Amino acid sequence: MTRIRTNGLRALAFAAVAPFLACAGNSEPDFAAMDVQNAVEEAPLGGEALAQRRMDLDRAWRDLLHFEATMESMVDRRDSRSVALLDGFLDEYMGTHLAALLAPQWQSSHPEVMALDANLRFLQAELFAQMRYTRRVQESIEDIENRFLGREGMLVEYPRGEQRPLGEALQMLRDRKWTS
Amino acid sequence: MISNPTRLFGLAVAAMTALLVAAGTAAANAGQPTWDDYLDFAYVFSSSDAEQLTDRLDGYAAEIGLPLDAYVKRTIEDREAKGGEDSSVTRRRAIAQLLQYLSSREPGHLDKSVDTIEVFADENSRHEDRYWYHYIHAHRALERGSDTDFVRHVLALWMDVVVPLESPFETLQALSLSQSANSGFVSALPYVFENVARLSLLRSQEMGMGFGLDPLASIVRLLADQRVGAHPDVIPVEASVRDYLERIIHRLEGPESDGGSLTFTLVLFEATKAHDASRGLLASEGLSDKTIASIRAASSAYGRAIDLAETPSGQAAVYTRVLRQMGEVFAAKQRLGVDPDVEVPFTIEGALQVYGMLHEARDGGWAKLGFRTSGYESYLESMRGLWEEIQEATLNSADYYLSRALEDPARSSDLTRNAARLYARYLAHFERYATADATDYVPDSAYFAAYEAARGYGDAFVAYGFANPGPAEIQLAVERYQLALRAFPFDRTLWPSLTTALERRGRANDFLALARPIAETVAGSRHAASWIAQDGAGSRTVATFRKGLGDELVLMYMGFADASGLTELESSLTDLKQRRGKLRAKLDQLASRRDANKRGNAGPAAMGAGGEGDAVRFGTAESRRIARELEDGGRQLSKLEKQIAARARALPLFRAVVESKELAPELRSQRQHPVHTLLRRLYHEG
Repeated sequence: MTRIRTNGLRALAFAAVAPFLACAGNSEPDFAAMDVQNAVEEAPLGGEALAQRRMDLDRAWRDLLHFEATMESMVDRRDSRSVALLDGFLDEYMGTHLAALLAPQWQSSHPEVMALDANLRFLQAELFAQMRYTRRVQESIEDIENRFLGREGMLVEYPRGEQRPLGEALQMLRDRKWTS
Repeated sequence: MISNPTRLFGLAVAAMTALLVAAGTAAANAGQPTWDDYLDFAYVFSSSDAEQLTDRLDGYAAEIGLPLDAYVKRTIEDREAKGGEDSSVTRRRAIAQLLQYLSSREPGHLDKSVDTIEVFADENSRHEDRYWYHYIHAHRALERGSDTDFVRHVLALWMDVVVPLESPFETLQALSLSQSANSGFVSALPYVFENVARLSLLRSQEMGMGFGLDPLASIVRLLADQRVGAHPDVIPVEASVRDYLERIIHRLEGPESDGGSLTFTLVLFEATKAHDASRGLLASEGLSDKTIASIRAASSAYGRAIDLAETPSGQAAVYTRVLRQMGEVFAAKQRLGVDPDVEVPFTIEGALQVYGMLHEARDGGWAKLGFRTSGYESYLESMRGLWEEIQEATLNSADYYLSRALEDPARSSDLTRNAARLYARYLAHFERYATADATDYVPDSAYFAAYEAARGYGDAFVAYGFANPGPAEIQLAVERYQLALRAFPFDRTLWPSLTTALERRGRANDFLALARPIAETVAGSRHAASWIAQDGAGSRTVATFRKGLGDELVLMYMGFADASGLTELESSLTDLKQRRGKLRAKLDQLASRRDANKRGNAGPAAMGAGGEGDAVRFGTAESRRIARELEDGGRQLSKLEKQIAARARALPLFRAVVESKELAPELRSQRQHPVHTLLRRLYHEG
């Protein structure tokens, strides 16, 4: 078991995790509520919090890739029962966790995370397209248009494994909306 | 060899003793540890196998001084007495009942656990409660065989527990607080990963869940992505299920995948394990009753996998493995000389059909056959792998039939024809698909296998002699021998087989006409020349044959002589030389007499009594006889000189061929032997 080794670090650590430890022990902290609170926060993050956000976005990106690969293979095999089960899960995952993670406006223009933010939005829209949620695809398109207005030349990864300007990727996504 | 993840997990549990001790610190400080202390950390050891778990629970009971069932009973009594209880007590009782079920496999305990944990059905319950709620329900879904419920609970566990805890866990981990006693259930996250992996991959198969698991492929991929095995400070990597998980991912996304179906991957993996077990028994016990039962179990498992396979990719994966089993069984029967009834419910025809489907998609559409994720290389690997197993299963089963034919004269005709049919089918497959441009789809070893099949077909009717073949079969045998020579010209014993087959048709004289084009291809091959120049594998044998086959006399020796007659051939050369010597002497003598006659014409004194050494008068009958004999003898001498020169040149070459190192045994045992590549090039050069 790892122990805190210095008093200085102990103090720093305590300050950072005070929200968690406040309710540690038998009654557990309400992480979900804290996530929502973080998500709606509009002030840009910095330091450790920004690093944590980068990690969260990166993890969500990788996770979505895995979900997409699984969904794609089940659609290929026309396994509608399995598609329905994963669809239900993804609906909740994107509606709660991902929606909260992608809610802040600042991260779409913060130089350290905006590329991750954009890539994640495109990947989410792609999954919506695979799941035949046309309206949600359209909402994603409009959201990306609004957030990245004037930055259509910014490189994004879409489709998976290919890089192209955001404007061009948006056009592909519009086509994809009806052809998935 | 697959390590036993459950056993290894025992090590992890042992490594976690420190955590359990730490967890019980407060209790220890206060005195006697309690079940509460251990049940709060049950996520550490709940994935142990039944035996280990029973030992552990017995140990805790001895330490605490209270059996687990007594603890459960006491909590119920307390609740009734007090008219209620704290939620942590309810959770602990549900965990205790689950542990009772996991150690005893008695479903009644699980039902009670489900009833107890039901109070945490509210999705706003604490993460720890939600974890146990879904974990216990997932176990019951397995017990009941409900794939939908199982998948729902595993997905919900991820949603309700893992998703909200990951970010806080990373924060705590960055601060080295992730395993602090104060960090709450968040510190359990590495164990949650481990337990979900074990539940989805191992426990599901142990409980026979061979259907409907495909949505969990996403969770398995997430677990493999920096989660399971990513916390060696908590669970040592070698004790985690990571190695097993990576094997599953490799299969899920590799050439053995059925378009990404997790269910198929797990079922095929289990079948492979059963196959490994039967192979082990075959090696240690031969074809004992236990081995046969094990082979049947493996075949049956492969049968379940083929039923699940929806793409040619998955079908090829199953056939590739089951054909190997089929070949092993036939080889064992032949080797051990026994013939028990072991039915493998697959046919080589089925595999040939799957290969045909894969081949048809070579110019496009291959991705739709289940290779979209795994890619083109996997598609090619799958085709070549399937081909290799088709050829090995064919050759092994045909060998088996021929060996049975030798042992059972009454059925030898039928058994021989069974073997011939197998060979013929492979050869038809070979001739259809092994084209010059099929390098990517057909393994190099296919050409040597074609040699073996073609030779096997010919030998079945010509060499063994118990099939009583008809003229058409003999004619086919001749053609097969020709094919065998094209595919592998470096088998010295094959050339006289062609002669023997021709003799059966009264066409032995055709040997040279049929063999010469094949020999010329080898002798003039630029691929063989390049191979020799680069000192490739088997170069000496290749060079020897190349030189030998370039000489027609050597070719005749190869067709009509056998190795045992080499000494006779060499002694015949000595005879010829002796005959030449005698003839020369005779001709010299005759020439002397003739020349003496010429000298005698100088004066009558030279004329003798007409003896043998005497001069002969020109124009007499005697002089004409001498002249004729000299003329005839000269022709004979010239002929002898030619014969001697030819044999003196050819016999050493033939001896070199006879004495050259055989390549066939190495090629037969090594599919990746470099000479297979040369054989392919030679075949298409002709």
